[in-house]
Amino acid sequence: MKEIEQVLAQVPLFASLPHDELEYLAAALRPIQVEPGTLLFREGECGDHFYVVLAGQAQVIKALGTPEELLFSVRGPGDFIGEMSLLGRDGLRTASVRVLGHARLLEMTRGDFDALLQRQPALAYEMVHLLTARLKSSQDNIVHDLQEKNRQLTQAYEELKNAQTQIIEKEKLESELEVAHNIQMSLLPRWLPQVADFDFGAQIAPMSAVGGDFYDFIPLDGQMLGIAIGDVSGHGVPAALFMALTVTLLRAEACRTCSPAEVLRGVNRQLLNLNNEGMFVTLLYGVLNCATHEFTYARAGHEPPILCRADGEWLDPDSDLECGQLLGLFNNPLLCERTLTLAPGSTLLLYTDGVTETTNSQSELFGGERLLAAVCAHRNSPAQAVCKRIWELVTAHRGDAPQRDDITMVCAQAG
Amino acid sequence: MEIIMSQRQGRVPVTVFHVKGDINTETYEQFQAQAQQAIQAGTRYLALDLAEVSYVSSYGIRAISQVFTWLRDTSQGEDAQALDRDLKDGKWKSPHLKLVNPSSQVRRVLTTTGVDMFLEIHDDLQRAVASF
Repeated sequence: MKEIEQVLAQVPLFASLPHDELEYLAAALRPIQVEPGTLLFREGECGDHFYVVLAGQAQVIKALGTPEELLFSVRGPGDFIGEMSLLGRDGLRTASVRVLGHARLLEMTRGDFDALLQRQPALAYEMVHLLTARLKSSQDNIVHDLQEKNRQLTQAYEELKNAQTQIIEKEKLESELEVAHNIQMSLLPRWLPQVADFDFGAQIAPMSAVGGDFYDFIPLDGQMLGIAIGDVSGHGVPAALFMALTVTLLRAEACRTCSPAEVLRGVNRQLLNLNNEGMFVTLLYGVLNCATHEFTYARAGHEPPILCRADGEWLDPDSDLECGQLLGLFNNPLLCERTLTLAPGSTLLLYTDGVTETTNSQSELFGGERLLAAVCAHRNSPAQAVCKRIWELVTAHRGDAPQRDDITMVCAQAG
Repeated sequence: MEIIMSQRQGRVPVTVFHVKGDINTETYEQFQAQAQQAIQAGTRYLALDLAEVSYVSSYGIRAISQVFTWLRDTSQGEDAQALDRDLKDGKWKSPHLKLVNPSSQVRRVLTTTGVDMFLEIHDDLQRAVASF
């Protein structure tokens, strides 16, 4: 009891009390031990106890457990806690209090507290002093907290403004890319040729919004139809612009001569004159004589065509690997012409290397053999269905792996 | 892909790129960048040792073609007439860039794209270096 009396004498609130009052309080107040982390009381609860901290520390917290939670202050030995609900008319706790570490407190009931103030009115005056100091400290904390929140808000606003600018830029770029994509797609044939005895199909899947692959059907004199497939080096906008240039040149050159090799040489000459970026293009261009079913083509570094006949026999694509250089590299590329006959029931597939070079997550190529087998397996389907089926097979092979190149196919079937 | 660079001395100083791994969409830019760096540092004769390359994709072919044009541009005028005259007949080969030890799969790609028509392909590095 003596010890409590000595501790009470050290409490600033009780420092002015006479000795007999301290003796009385030491006998009347209940000492309690509190475990670490104990929530002594919660904001908004009805309070009927007042505490004096003898040892340990307690946190005074506003809006506990909410996003706005604020540590108001930490009370230590000699401080008192819980006075607000005893002084306030509604008797509600104005903050929550959580004990840090092991703490020792003196607990006073509302009745004890009221009786003490009646016996010692000067204590109320002392309490007003202490509460004024606390109020000032609280105001300082609130002002500091508001300043900090204001700083964070300003920072968040700046970040939001920057993010919004980036989003606007991105949307603008995406919109421009969409326009570029639409322009590029408008350069491709809108309709498949309608020619007696022949059925045509085509499929193109750019890797990004704009790509470097293209195909074309060019109606020529009489029964002749020009068919082209190409792949410009790189991808994205530069490749798309180079693709547009190549398609335009090809259409112009195709009208000058029926010789596919001469057409490609003409395109090459123009590309070398106009191309300062060191870009190349692989291109297969051929002329289909719809009367004789002969397809005469020249291959500028492009994959050779696949031909599967009605009986399932196929022409070895590797038999045409000689003689065919990329366009855009040399003044006089070495180009040869070859003629295939599309007998009734034959399926001819022209494709870009995006088809055969599609890899799955184990880096396994789709490859030429799978493609050849797929063409022959689906040779009895309509030409567009052949393209669609191969696209499905390539997509299934790729699985979760990303598409790494543009993929394009053109199919011609002789009826 | 990894490129280990070495220097050999034939009739001329030759830079050798020992390439390990595929030259494809993911690696062609690195390949081009290292070649460009070597050319800027003074390389005029480059041998690509492809013994440890299992596949060269179309992007790889374009990267090799790009390196070919860079090397050709460093010696502009030197052999332009011979190139124009002989390339069409398949007689002209680059004096600056040569390929060594491609696998059969890589060789097929080189043939399909016509790269073998302007770049010599050797089976032996020493002989390739001596041929520059």
